Order: sequence, then C-alpha cells, then structure tokens
Amino acid sequence: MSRGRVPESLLAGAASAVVAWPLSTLFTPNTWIRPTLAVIAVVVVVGILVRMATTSWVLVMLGQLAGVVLVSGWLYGRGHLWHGLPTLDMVLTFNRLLVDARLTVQNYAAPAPTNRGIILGIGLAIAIAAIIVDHLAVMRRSPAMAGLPLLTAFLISASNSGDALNPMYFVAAGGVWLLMLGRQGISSLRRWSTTVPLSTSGRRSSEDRDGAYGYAAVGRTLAVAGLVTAVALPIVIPHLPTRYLIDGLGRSADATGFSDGQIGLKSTLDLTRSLNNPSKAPVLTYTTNAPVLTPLRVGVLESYANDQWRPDNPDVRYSKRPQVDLPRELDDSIPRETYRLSVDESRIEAPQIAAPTPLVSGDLDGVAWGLDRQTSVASVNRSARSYSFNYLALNPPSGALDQPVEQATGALLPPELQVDPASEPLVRQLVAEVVPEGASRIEAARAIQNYLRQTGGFSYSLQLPETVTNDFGQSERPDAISLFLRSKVGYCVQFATAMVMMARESGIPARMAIGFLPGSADRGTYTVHASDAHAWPELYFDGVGWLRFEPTPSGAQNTVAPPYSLAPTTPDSSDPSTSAPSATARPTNTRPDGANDPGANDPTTTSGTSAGDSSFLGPQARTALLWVLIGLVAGVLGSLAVPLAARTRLRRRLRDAPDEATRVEVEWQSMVERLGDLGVIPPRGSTPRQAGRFFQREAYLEGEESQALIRVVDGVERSRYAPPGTTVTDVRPDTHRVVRAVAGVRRRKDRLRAAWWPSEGLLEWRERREQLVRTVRGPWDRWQERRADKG
Amino acid sequence: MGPAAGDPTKGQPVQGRYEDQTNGPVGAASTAPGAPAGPESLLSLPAGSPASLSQVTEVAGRLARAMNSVIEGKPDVVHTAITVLLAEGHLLLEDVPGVGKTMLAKTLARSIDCSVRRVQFTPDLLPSDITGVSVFNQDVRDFEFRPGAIFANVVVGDEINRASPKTQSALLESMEEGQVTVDGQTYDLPKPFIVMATQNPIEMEGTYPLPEAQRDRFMARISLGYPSSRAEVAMLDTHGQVSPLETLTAVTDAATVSAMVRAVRSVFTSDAIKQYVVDLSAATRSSSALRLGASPRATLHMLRASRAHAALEGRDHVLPDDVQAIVVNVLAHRVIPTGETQLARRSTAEVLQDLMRRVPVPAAGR
Repeated sequence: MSRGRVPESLLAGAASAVVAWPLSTLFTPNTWIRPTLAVIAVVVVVGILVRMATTSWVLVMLGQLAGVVLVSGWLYGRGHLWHGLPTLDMVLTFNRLLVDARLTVQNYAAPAPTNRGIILGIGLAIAIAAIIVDHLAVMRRSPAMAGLPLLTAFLISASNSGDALNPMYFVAAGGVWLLMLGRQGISSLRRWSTTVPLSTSGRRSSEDRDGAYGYAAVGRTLAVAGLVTAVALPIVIPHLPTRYLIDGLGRSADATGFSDGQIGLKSTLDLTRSLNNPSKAPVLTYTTNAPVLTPLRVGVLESYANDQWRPDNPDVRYSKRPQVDLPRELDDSIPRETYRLSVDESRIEAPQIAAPTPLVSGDLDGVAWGLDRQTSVASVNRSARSYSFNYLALNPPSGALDQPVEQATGALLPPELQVDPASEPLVRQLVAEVVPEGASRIEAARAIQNYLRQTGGFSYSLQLPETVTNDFGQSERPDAISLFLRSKVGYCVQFATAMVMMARESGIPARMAIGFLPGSADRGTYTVHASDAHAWPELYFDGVGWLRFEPTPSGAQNTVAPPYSLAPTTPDSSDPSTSAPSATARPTNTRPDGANDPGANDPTTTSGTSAGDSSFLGPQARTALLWVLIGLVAGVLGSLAVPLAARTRLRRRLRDAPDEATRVEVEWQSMVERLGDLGVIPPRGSTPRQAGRFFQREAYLEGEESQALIRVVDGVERSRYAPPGTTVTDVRPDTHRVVRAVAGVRRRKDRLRAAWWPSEGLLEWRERREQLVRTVRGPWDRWQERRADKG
Repeated sequence: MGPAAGDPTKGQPVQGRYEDQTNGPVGAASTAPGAPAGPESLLSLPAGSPASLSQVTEVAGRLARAMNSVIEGKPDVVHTAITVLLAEGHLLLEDVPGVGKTMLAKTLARSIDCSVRRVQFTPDLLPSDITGVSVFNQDVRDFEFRPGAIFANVVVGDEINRASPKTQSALLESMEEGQVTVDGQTYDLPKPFIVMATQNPIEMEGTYPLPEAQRDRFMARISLGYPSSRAEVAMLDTHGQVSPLETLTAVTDAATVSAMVRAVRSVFTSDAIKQYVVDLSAATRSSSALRLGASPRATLHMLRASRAHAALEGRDHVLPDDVQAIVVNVLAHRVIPTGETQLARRSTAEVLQDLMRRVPVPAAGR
C-alpha cells in the first residue's frame, strides 16, 4: 500500500474538496456538492490504484482523466452513452451544458441558481484541480507547489462573490494544505536512514538527541501563527479594490440580463430567464448640464428568434474625428437643445460605450470611435474610461409624429417589422383590442405603451412564472412573449419586447434598445450601477428617426416615459413628480430603402466582437489568445538569445586568440562548460588529465570517442605546460565528438538545458551587461575622478 | 617483522662509528670528494652531459626493478625514493621498527655503483664523526683531513633521532649546503649526494625528534607501512636463506645518476605549473586546518620533485598531475596540523588531499 501513498492521496483529495467549499456561497442550492465529491473521490481512488501498479506519472494522470470522463459521463451524459462509454454525442451535450453554465455565471449575481451545466462545470474544474494537486503533492512529493493550484481554485471560488468571505473557508483550506506539508515533511524525514528511533507520539522522547522534536514544534507554531496572521491581518490593513479572476457572478447580472460590463455587455437577451439580486456594482459616473436626464444607450437589437434577441453585425468605421453626422431623416424643424454629458470611470469594455442619443460630437480622449451605419449605435475600438459627448435633446411636437402606419407589403418584411411567429396570433389579437382602428403612428404607440404601463394590469417582477393556466385550467408553457402577455408578470425586457412586437404588428418599425437608466445623483455627479441596466423599445418615425418609448411601469426602477409618448390630454398620473419628462429621441441611420438585410435574420452570424452564446471565447479570451501567441513568439525568440550568445562568444574568442595554444585552451574551456551544462562537472581542482578521466567514467566513453577525449586532453596539456615551440594540434573536431558522445548518454532534460540555457551564453550576457554598465558609468566616474583631482 | 630483521649481512655496525660499504670495486671506497666513482659501464655517460629522457626512464626502470626485488610490494615507496634521488633531495624514512626502512636505504645505495656510508646514530655520536676531523700527521708535520661519514654518494643515517641535536645539525647542515667546512677548510661533497635518514616515531625515550626546521630540509618523507600478507609470505620465501641484498648488483653508477639529475633539471616547467605550486603552498599557509604551512623551500622542493616525477614518466614538461603525485610526500612532514585537526583524527595527508581538490589548476593564460 505504501506505493499507492494512500494518506497523501487522501489529503490531496481533501484539499481539493475544501477549496471547492467556498463555491457554496456562489451557487444555490448546493446540489453540486455530491457529484463534485464523487469526482474527487474518483481522482483519489484511481490515483492510488494506478500508483500501486506503475510509477509513471503520465499513466496516473491519464487514468485519472479517464476516470473523471467516465464518471462525469455516467452522471451527466445519460442517454448519450454507448455501453457506458462516452461518445461524440456526449461531448456535444457537455458543450451545451458548459455554454449554459457560462451564461449562468455571466448573468447572475451570487448566489446563482445551480443547474446541470453548473454542476458539470464545477465538477470538471475541481476534478482538473484535484488531478493537478494529486500530481504535485503525491507524485512529485512537493505539496508546497500544490499550494498554487489550490490557491488558484480557492481564489476563483472565493473572489467572485463580491463579499467578504467567512474566514472559516480560508482556515480550512490553509489547514489542509499545512497538513499536506507536514505529512510530506514527516515521510521525507522517515526516509532518512537512521538508527535513532523517531518519536511517533509527537512528544519529545528520550532518544531525540538531534532535537527533531524542537524543529517540529517550531514548525507547528509557525504554521499556526501564519494562519492566524492571515486571518487577523486583513482587519488592520487597507483593502484594495477586488480583482476578479473570471467573468460574472461578482459583478453579477442585472435586471435585464446583461452583465455590468467590465468584460463586456452581453448583447443577447433571453426572455425566459428569471433574475434575482441585481448587483450594485458601479458601472460609470457622469456629470451633465441637461435639466432632464436621458438613459444611456449601449446597443440595439433587431432580430428576435426562439425567445431571444440577437445582435446584428456591426458596421462601424472608427476614427478620432470629434464630429459625427446627424441622422439623415431628422427634420430641421424638430425643436432641439444641445447638452453635454461627461463620463468618468466607465467600466464598459470596447466596443461598447454608453452614450445618449442622438450624438453631435464626442471627445473620447484619443480613443477612435464611430457610429454604426445601420443602427447609429456608438462604439469604440478600445475601452474608454472617461469621455464626453454633446447630444441633442429632441422634443418633437405631436403633429410631427402624427403619420400613418406602414402597411405590410409582401411576405418579405424588413427585420424591424417582423413579428415573432410563435406569439403572432396573441399579439395580433391584443393589438386589435388596444389600438383603435385607423390610429396614426403616435396614437398607436401611445396606446400600446399605455396598455403595458397602466391599463393592462401588468406587474413588474424579476421572478418570471414558469407556466400559465390555459382556458382548460391546465398549466402550460408557451413561448416567452405569450407567457408574458398572458401571465402579465415580467421585467423591462419582457415589457419592451411586448411593445416592440405589438408596434411591429401595428405597422410601426420597432427595435429593442439596451443600456442604462440615468442612475442616482450625488452632489451633481450621477452614478450608474449595474442594477440600472435597462431595456426599452425604439419606434421609427419619419422625419424624426427612432424614438424611445417606455412601457415598463415605474417599479423597482425609476422609469420615466418621454413626454411625446404620453397623450397630450391625459397627464401621466403615475409620474406626478416628473414636471418635465425627459425628451429624448433616437434618430438613426436606418437602411435608406428599408430593405431586408440578409445577415440580420441569421442568428448564427453574431458579431465578431460581441459575446455570442455559442462560443466559449469571448473577446477577452481572443485578446488573451493573441497575447499568448505574441508571448510564445517572443519566448521562442528570447530562448534563442542565450544559445546564440554562447556561439558568438566561442567564435569571438577563437578569432581573438593570438596563437594555437590559446585556441586549444578556449576549445577546452568551452568543452568543459558544455559538458558541465550536460551535468558532467569534474571536481574543482582537477587537472586536465583527471577531468578527462572523469568525463570518460561518467559518460562511459570508449573506442573512438575515448581516443578523441585523450587527444583533447593531450592537446590541452601540451598547449598549457609543454615548452614553447611544441606543436599544438587543433582539437576542435575532437571536442565536438566528445560533447556529442557525452550528450548521447545524458537525460533529455540535461540535453535541453545544455542546448537552450548554456552557461557560456549566460556568461556572455553578463559580460555584455557589465560592459554596458561600464560604458554608461564611465563618464560619471571620470568626472568624479576629475573632481577629486581638483579637490 | 620486516625485511630488515632478516638482514644478516654485516651485523650491527659499531656504535658511533661508520662503516664503509662500497659496491663494486673496493678501490672506489676511498674516493676523493667530488670524483665520480666506478668504472664506465654501458649505461654510464661522460661527466657533465645530461642523459636523454629515454635514458632516464630506462635507467630508472632498472633501478626500480632492482629495488622492487628486495623491497617487496612497495612500488610507490620505491618510486618516491628514486624521484627524490633524481631531484637532488634527501629522504626521511619514518616508520615503526622492522618494516624495512634501513633495508630500503641500503637497497637504493647498493643498486647504484657508488660510495655508500651508513651511520648508526647514537647519543654519543659527535659532529666530527659526521663531517670528519683534521689529524696531525707526524710524517708531513701537518694537519691532515680525515673525511667523516658524510663523504659518500649515498649516506644512510639510521635512527637519526637518537643522536644529539648538535650532531643532527652537523648532518643537516652538510645536507643543505653540499659541502663540509672543517678548520676553515671547505670540502665539497661528492655528486650525486643523497642522505636517507630513518626515524622511529614510536620509541621516544632518549630521543631527539627532528624539529620542524630540520625536517624541512628533507625533500620527502616516506612511511613504508606493513607489507600485505602476500608480500610478507613472499618475503619469507626470498629472505629465508639469504638476504636478497647480497645478490643485488648495481644497475647503474654515480656518473649516470648525475647525468640523470642534470636531465631532470632541464625538464620544462611552464608558468602555469609554477603558479600552481605556489598556489598550493599558499593554500597550506591559509588553511584553517594547518598551524604551519609550507615554506618557500617546500615550494622549491615540490617543483624539483615534480620535475623528477615528470622525467620518470618520460615527459619533458611538468603536468599538474606530477605536482599532485608528489605533494603529499613532499609536504606532509613539513606542515603542522592544528589541534582541531588532530582531535578530528585527520592526518596531514588528508588535509593536503583536500587542499588539492580545492585549489584550481591554472590554465596557460593566467
């Protein structure tokens, strides 16, 4: 059993389990614990069994991986297995589950709901951590190193809740790690051959002549003191802002289902998802001279399919010009005022940027930006922390908006008029109820907004109902829009979507806008939190452009309907405090001919820079990949620096050698260095002859190679010690032969080190550095000398 | 019991007297100082011309074979003795009684066809017994110099630590200077000239151990040690009936040895080797394990011994390996270990080996 190293393996498994413990603060309910423990147990047991059979760490790791794959297949891939073995189908299933888990992590604030994807994700991640910990702590016998993966796993689970973690998690993890260290230390000590019996009780025994007990006691005291200090010290030292290792959770999600944006706003909206506990993390702060605040728009969505809004391909030309063109369709007769809005500490990542609309000019502090030619959404090519925009506040008179609705012409509708087919009957029915016959555009829009906001009996809630009762008293689950229209419970995404669909059904081009509500003020500075994220519909009016409407009732969020959206004769009773409702409109460059953009309907052609839900690699991951590639190339080039320096050094010294004897000496020194790199280092005081014998013995040289070595040694002796005038032969071919022969019997590790990290190369670099230092310091030293002379 | 115990040759010499032991023609015994002794043999060379290196190795090989036939199982010791002979040094044999110290000395002496004198040191031996004395000759009515025991090519000083310091000094002075001064008259000692003194470190009663300053004059100290059991059995065979010393004939003569010595002098020592020898001496002086380090004379002796060692290998230049081969024999009796070293039961030889491992071998370009 000692080959299996059972106690160490169990401790390593326990450590992996303990560092997963803080995850219980991030996910609820704790259904993930049991499968994760099962996976860890598999890693431990397989590790012990394989170790008893073999000493190869590769086999152990492979066995553990295979065990993890099998078990996770049995646990999560049921129905996708072939006689209990994983199949390609299972891999696809796993991918789906993991995508699901990723979305959950991105969208929810802690604690996020535990679903199958989360369980699988945690299980696999902890399994990989457990394998690495097992490898380091048990196979490599260095539990100190195993502390790094443990710490990483611990930090990932600990740092993403955004709250201070209960110290008991840390104490538990640290304690198990110290146990591993202690266990390894004891077993290393036991391996020393000694005739003195060791105290097994942990108490000082009378035989303990070496005072090993004393050291052990000191070690224990230090460990405990370290733990206590680690727990106690944070109370007195100042805290730095939290840095998150992975996206999501900590920064959490918000009411509309996209994250607050240090990594990037998710531009996909899923209507089926409930939300809870929106984060209070600040997204940006701004100041403005506008008397009435306007929401800040981040993006717009036009394509809706399968209960989800999907982004379109961006079409932006970035430049650093401050001016942008106003929307073409904006009529000069519309009353307008220009205001300025300055943003500080924006955490929204490129290409997204929060901006009011419509924009006149912007100052982004050197960051190139532009407006999307299709949607007129502002975007940047790298994140701008602080920027300012000048924008127009429009207040179109009712007359300008009083225009007829568009009639559906032909089967092929532009995307901003397409109604989701699954809910179209219900929407059509509602439109018929709500919108009076022959109403103009603005009248229809006002009617729909009024219906959703006040008269329809809708209520605002972040928790979505799972089902609705149909006419027969049975529970059923229709598509998301129908579910909302029938249950009349939802949050801004549902309200906005319903208004978009109803407007489209009435013949008004409509689209979905996402962004942030104006936020809360503190002495003239407004702070937008993640919980201020919002979604609203935008409707198109000829001569004005896209105008914002506000169907979401003023519930948890302080949503204010713009004045033009309210019937002139009916004051908005729900917003008595709003003396001057915000006047905003969003004219954009719609497609001039209203033609269908073929890419817009294709859900798979998500934008290259926005986070699509079908790809694991977000923009940040792609950037990271780029950096990794750049790093790799730099690393390869850098790794050539030392071997090349070694070659240069040898060539230069051979060239500079005044006579053949010196050349032989250089060759000999180079050979000794290279053999030293290969791990064959003769004793310090060796004569050439002794070194030669040492090389021969260590590298088992014989035959021609041995002769070559003897010739080299002879050449060196003659060049060094023979009377002047003795003929000295070139030993270069022989040194090469000897080095090759020695390299042939060394381990690959030694050969690699000798090839990539030759000590001669290091010496060369050191000399170059010293020379540089001398060159740089030379004038200074001379000046000092001169001054000293004068003095 | 060593070979010396079975030596029945001449019996013990008279105490306080010296005996003449000449090999070859008797007439050579009463040699005038400095005159080469013995007839011209095949191997002998004209006086003053150095031998070639191949001759050196050849003759040294003969010498070693002849000595090894008597001193069984001790080729290292024999090699050191020949090295010291060729390096113009003197040899101190220090070991327990009966392991063949005297035997070694006599064997070397007898293998060379030259004048040999053996002095048994006793407390009442006088300096004049060593150096010689001027006696008034009635016939010529003048003082006539009677040379002492020192006037020989090979002088074997037995149990040197039994003599009084005064007498020891007389011997050591002539060893160092290669000449004797009596009554204001200076007499040169013959060439080659080697003193082989034996010393018994066990019996300390009534002895005067050589002080450090005087031990320093000996180029090398050898301990023979007990023979291996096989060598001891072989010794019983060969020494049973008659001493092998009896049958030993000279394989070379004084002139040849002188030529060899000159050849050794011409062995090249590069600057790197000189530096190495100096480094080694310096290391003994700075070593924390030694109370007294090597003297400059020791440095000189090391270099000369290294030359001889290289010549015996047939090489015309000295390698660091030559130096390392002779370091322990040349330095071990000169350095004094500290109390800690003695308490740790480390011998000076071990300390010196340790130093050799640490002193780097200088390369040519130093």
